[in-house]
Amino acid sequence: MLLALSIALGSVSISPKDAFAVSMHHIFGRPLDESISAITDNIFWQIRAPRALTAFLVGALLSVAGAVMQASLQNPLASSYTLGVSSGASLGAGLMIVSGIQIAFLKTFSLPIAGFIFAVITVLFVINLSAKIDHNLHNQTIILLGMVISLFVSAIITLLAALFPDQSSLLYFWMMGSFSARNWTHVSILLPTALLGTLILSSFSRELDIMTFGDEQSNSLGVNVKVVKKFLILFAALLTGIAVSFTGTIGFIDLVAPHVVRKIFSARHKIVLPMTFFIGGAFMALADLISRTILAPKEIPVGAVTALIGAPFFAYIFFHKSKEKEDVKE
Amino acid sequence: MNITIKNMSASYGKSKVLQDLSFSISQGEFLAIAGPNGSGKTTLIRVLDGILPYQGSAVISTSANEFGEISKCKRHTLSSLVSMMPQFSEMYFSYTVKESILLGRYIHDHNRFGSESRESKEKVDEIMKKLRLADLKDCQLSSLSGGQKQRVMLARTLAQETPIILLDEPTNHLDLKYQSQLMEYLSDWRKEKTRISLKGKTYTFSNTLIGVFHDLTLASSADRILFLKEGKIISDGKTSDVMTSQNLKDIYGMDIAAYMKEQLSRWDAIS
Repeated sequence: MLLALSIALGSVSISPKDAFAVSMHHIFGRPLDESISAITDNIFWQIRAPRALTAFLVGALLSVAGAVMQASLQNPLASSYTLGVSSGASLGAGLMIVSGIQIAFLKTFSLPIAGFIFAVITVLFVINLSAKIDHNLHNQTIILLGMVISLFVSAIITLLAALFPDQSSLLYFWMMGSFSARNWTHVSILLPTALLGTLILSSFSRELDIMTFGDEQSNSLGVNVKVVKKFLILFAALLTGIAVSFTGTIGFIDLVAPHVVRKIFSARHKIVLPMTFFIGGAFMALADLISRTILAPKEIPVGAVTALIGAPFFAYIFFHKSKEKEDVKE
Repeated sequence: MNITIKNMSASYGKSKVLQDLSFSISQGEFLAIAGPNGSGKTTLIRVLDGILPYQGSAVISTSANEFGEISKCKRHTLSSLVSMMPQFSEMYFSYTVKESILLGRYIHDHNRFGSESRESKEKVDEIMKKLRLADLKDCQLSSLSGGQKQRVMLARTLAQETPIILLDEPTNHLDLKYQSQLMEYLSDWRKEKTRISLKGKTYTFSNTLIGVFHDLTLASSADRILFLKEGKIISDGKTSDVMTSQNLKDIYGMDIAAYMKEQLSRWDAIS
């Protein structure tokens, strides 16, 4: 519903009926009603729909990955960003921006691909170094090392921005995240990634449930923690890397969406993961809608919106719900 | 099925906690592991659970020489044979009593998308009824009392249906009533047999209980006590043989028997 709303709203309003007609026209090849102008068709199908879908899918991906990170690292504050995905991607993007290189055959995808590659390299580095330092791959080791490396990479980005002041605003804008000018190519990459990724992660729901009880208990119960944890972390980081490289590092949503779902629905991951997919997606679509309409025609960075609405909403859900729980106890 | 430990040592980093242990545990036994603080009791339990690496040998085997070295067993095989009742530790993620106990069925259910089999659900219902947890089944773990939480941990361990259960000071933080209840559940369990299927074969084993106890009164409910001190076996034998006042004096460096008797004599004054 939010998705539909965000497609419909904008400086040119499109009625739901027209939107439906246009969708039918494009998806099923139905002839378009003459009352619908080519401009409406264009705005809806070429701009709004792919943008809203991209926002939804990126929100879903980030949130599902966040839920997996929290459970497998047994830490409610852990996220892919803790392990350096965001700083890695930013460094990759930053290097592309300041150097002005555009790899010929990749064209406009040079930036996302560089971001993705750097994100993956950073996470791999964090995990492998953790495994080398701490044979048992304890959560604290991974999280601490992730933060250290994240901070180190961020320092390089700051250095980069200082050395190339002309490009720094571009870099900062990228880091804040935006969904503008997203087209169907983006959707066609993100849609299968998000669906398949969530499906694969969902097949680990029972392991995720068990892992929240800690490594030793998980081993006792029969989960091969070392292998499963490494896979889940890398896979979630990969999904985050894909999302982030397309849109910039939008924070907060990966932290909030899973917690909201856990508080409202259930802590079981067979419910948490699919629900997080929808809640995270809807929340991101809403954030994007706000980012482009509230000060229209000016756009505010969507990362700022997610944090501005997310923080109070999160606080409300968290404290309101835990109060309810205490009441029941009495 | 027997557990045979030979020249086994284990360490955390550079400090050796267990040194050159050799002993065996036979099927159906109730073995208590006791000894002063830092003697390596918990470490020994963790080796048996396959969590801690070790040097030397620790073998679980049937008369037909199946299973083998603990460190080389597949996690699934080991968790089908051995389960551990953990001490409850606070956690952020909140599951209900029933959800938590169902996690004990992990090795039995193979559905990748998180649904437990009917058999598992029935088994868990049965255990909850036995441990009087049925009324609490939809309560969040975090809202339970210490005794209830330990009971949930026991229920989860029983749900795993292994022929060997390891305990690490299971009565910690429990009042006397719960302590005696817990020991009763466990001694009931030990009289039973457990049937497991592994690699298409079915085995029936008498239940074996191995537990770390700080409280010597609880430890003496075992058939046999293994005393550890500074990572070495200092005394091992039938409970009535090793629970002697001289032996305890040597192990703990104080006259435990006299102390306990003095403590108990205070009860004479209570009417």
